[in-house]
Amino acid sequence: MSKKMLSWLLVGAMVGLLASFVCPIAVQGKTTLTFIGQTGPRYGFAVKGVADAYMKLNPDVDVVIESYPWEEWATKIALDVAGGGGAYDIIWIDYKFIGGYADAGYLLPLDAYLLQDSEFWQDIQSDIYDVVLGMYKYKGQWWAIPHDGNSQVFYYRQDVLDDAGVKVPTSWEEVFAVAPKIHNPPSFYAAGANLKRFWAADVWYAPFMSAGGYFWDENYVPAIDTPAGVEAAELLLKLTKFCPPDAIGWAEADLYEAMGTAGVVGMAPNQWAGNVLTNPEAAKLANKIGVALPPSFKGKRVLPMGGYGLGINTKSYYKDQAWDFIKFYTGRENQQLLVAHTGQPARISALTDPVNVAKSRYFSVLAKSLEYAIPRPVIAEFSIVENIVGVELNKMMLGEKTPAEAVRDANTEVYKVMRGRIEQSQK
Amino acid sequence: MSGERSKKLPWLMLVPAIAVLLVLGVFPLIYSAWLSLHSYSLLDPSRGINYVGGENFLNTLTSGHPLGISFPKSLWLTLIYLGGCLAGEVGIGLLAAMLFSGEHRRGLRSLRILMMTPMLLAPVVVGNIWRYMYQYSFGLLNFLLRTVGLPAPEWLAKPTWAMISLIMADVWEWIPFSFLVLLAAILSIPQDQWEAANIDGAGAWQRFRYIMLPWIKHAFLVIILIRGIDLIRVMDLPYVITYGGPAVSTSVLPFNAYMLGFRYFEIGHAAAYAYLMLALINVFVILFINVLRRRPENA
Repeated sequence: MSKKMLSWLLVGAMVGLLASFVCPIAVQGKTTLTFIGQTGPRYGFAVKGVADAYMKLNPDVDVVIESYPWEEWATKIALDVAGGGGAYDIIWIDYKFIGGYADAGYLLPLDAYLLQDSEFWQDIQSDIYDVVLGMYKYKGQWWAIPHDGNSQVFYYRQDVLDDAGVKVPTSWEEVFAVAPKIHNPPSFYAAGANLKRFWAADVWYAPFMSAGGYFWDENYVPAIDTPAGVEAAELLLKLTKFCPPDAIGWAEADLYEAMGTAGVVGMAPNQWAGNVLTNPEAAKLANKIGVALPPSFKGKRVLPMGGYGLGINTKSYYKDQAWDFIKFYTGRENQQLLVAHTGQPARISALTDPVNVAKSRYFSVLAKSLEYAIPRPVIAEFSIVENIVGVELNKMMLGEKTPAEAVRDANTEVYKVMRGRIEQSQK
Repeated sequence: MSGERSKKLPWLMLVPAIAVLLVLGVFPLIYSAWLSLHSYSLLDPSRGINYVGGENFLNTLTSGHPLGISFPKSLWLTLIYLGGCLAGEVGIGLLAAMLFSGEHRRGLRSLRILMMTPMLLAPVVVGNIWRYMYQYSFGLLNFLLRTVGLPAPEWLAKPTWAMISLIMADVWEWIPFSFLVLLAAILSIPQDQWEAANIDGAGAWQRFRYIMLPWIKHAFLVIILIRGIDLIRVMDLPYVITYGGPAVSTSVLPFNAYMLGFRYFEIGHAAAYAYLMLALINVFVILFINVLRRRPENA
């Protein structure tokens, strides 16, 4: 074999190798869909369970799942966007990133697929609350199908309330009337809340919005420094008097542990607990824990909502296959499978399905809660806004600021974050 | 010809290493310096990368926005953290090294391996272990304190206690390092020095002050230099144990840089923040290298 021939063979081998990286299907004859999502029972376990079933039905498809904790997931996605995108086919996307990543051309608009699969789309529209679905509509196009609808619910210790002879409070006013009757530290703390930095803001939203507040006006001028903002901050401060003293250092996982072990009776409404506290296989006290709608405030109940959707990367080679997987995942017929793998569905039919409710009894309350929910703002800056509000609320809890000062300072800082949008909207 | 070739060969062999250094070291340094002069949000990349000059540096130095804590205040917290950790690590490390180098050292030899354990654990694991131990209601520390009738502090709920909690966890993790370095330094002291001191009737304090301390002074400086650099850029323990809180009471500089870069995804601002930190680390290193250079005769 001549040297020249050998050189050409080597070049050919290298090109083939390169092509296998760029377009694996051409070499392997099998489609590999890369899915990036979040870890945990509600997400990672559920995706794996459904993906396994999908691969059984579609042996020519491999679904490779990459699951990370939220911050790592957000970083991976951000870096993929910055690097030109293409590492992942199916993107499990936080609703608040939809706008930024749609504008960046990272997410594929799903409208063409929805038009093509009109029956599926009609079914989705009829079975998922508009408010949940609406989080994934941006600039008139659809960018993801909801993975779950995530509003707040209220967990409490039924046995302690029964012993004290009190009913489950339905308003914050009732909460504060009942709390002194059951507050008996260190055996029992009437309340528990995740109050660490931005988690504190998440407790503040519901009373703030119930009292008629919203983060900004139609021109993005912040409206946190309002009577509603101050009243919600005062409520939070009052709540801390009934919480274990270290609640200011709690994220949501600390709160669940405290509810299970440290005598917390009522958990400030929360949207992340899922089945952690009510599943007898996961929680020792599961049978003693009740679930109810979060309390109203000033006669109104408005709950903050977030959620995750499944979208497709514009750079994916397997867009059609990715869409097929998303349809399978969110399809009506696969929701029991999702729930069996500890997932939390977005469909109303799945949340109220008796088989599913038997597994996760918070579902029926969650379905009701979604009726009161409005999404937290669907803009990229919200990650910064919630941290600013949380830090100011923490300063209030430490006694460094009054509720009015905390809310005023949060408003000033949020204004700086929103300045670009304000100027843009005024143009 | 072949002589010329052999001269070039070593340089050719260096090419891969230099290429890696350029790609992984020099390029990121230049690119991040360029980024620090721009506004760039990874959450909203469509806004593009816009030149802002020194605005990111100016904002960092003059305003705490959007972190809720100014750079000088965060620097102060970092210095408290650094001072507390170094004092604990060097102090306890020295006591342990003296114990393990003393008369009973043969009996304690097997324990040396155990002493190393904390340093071998991943910092995130260490952070989580301590986070659970600090829990007010069900944490191990408060359980032990209550058992012996002492008051249980709100470890992670009060700013001062939160900082102490971070320092304690860090000291626990890194005592083995100072212990190892100081033990090696103590064991290198010539035996005749001790014997001469004994003949002269020197007491324990005099032996420590006039023999041990001069001999191990350099080891102290090495520990302070290496651990000091580590502590100025420590991220894992504050992230896992306190998340910079309560409020911003443990928001040390690296944590803030992380928040800007990987929570807010304001890459330009984060790069400027990191460059200011780099400048501080350089000042620290230069100071210590000067101290080390000035005293070789003491070794």
